[in-house]
Amino acid sequence: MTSVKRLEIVITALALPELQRLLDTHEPVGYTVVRDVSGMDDGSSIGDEVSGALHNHLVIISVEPSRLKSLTDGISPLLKRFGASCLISDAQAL
Amino acid sequence: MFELELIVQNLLQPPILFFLLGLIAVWTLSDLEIPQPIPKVLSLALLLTIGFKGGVQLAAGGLNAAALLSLGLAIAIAIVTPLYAYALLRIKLNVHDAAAVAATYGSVSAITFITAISFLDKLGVAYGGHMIAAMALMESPAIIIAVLLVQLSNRKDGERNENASIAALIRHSLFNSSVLLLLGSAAIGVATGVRGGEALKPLTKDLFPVFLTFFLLDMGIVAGKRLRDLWTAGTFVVASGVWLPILNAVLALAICYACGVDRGDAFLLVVLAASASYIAVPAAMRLAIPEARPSLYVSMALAITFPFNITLGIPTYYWCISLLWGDA
Repeated sequence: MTSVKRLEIVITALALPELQRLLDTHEPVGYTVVRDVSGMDDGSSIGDEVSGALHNHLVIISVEPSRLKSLTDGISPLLKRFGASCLISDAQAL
Repeated sequence: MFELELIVQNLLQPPILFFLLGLIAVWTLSDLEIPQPIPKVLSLALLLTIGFKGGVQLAAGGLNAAALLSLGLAIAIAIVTPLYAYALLRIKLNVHDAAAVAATYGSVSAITFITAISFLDKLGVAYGGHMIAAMALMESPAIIIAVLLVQLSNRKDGERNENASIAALIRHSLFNSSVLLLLGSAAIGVATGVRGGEALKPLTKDLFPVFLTFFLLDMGIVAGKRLRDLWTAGTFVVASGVWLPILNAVLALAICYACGVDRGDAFLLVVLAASASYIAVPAAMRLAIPEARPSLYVSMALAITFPFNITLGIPTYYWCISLLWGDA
């Protein structure tokens, strides 16, 4: 097993392509997208509205600890602009 | 026809009653829901049907001076509405929220338009197929104007804009799923003409009310849920969901009357002016003005203006048209 950093990002569906583009330039170990997640918010995160514009996706990213800073520096402006949430934790990869 | 009779007649249409059933389902904490992606499929089917039907009508009737007048007025209304709406909304709202709400009310609601067409069909009042193009033309100007207003305000405050570019926004406005499907279906309707219309008659005649009924049931559920967001928004926001569409309708009515627009087209232009977008605008605002609160602009459009328009607004606007244009 190897130690990695795990990022869990909840972001609006519209910003996902831009996040994926940034992730591809930073080449993390890998990432997974879980579509249409909902939870506690100001009501805007319910995923049943007509346009789908307010749908949120969950992106789970694993990255080597040494590359965490450059990745977070790269994606922070995007996360801030779209009000995305991001949790970072330690994990083990098989 | 007396207004009250028109309102009752409108309220007793199955799609409207199913909309009210959706609202009741939320208020009674029922587990009734239409699972995704069925509502999405229904909305696409409605847009395809109405676009195709408009195209067939356009092929049969052609594009005359009256049609060009309606299209020109549609664009003019779509440009003017967000400008004065923004100025009025700035009394109480910040720049981002005011711009997003102005875009919402400057743009149009396809489903309100479809409900209005269904209302006209019931009354047997004619309208031009070009009104489908009018609706598509009215989707985008408000979005672009709202973003320009925010950029203007940011420039004054010396802030740098990092959001979507105007070019990206124009592309999104013109090629978003609803506009593309609507215009594409209309083009196919024009190309295939009356023969194509006959081939898809089961879709445009028999299935259309079924799609609309199911979709409005879902809209009732969504509107009921969205009402919760407005509890904390304040009376100005809630009241704006009613006075803004009425103001827009009155101005459109005056313009159509002054320009001598045909009865059916005038009614549809008034309904379009009074409607608020909850499909094209939320997507564009999330990209272009992410600082604006969707819980305001989406909830106002879905939970206040849409129910108001399809229950009371549509028959009232038609009654006003009847008063000015004379009974059909």
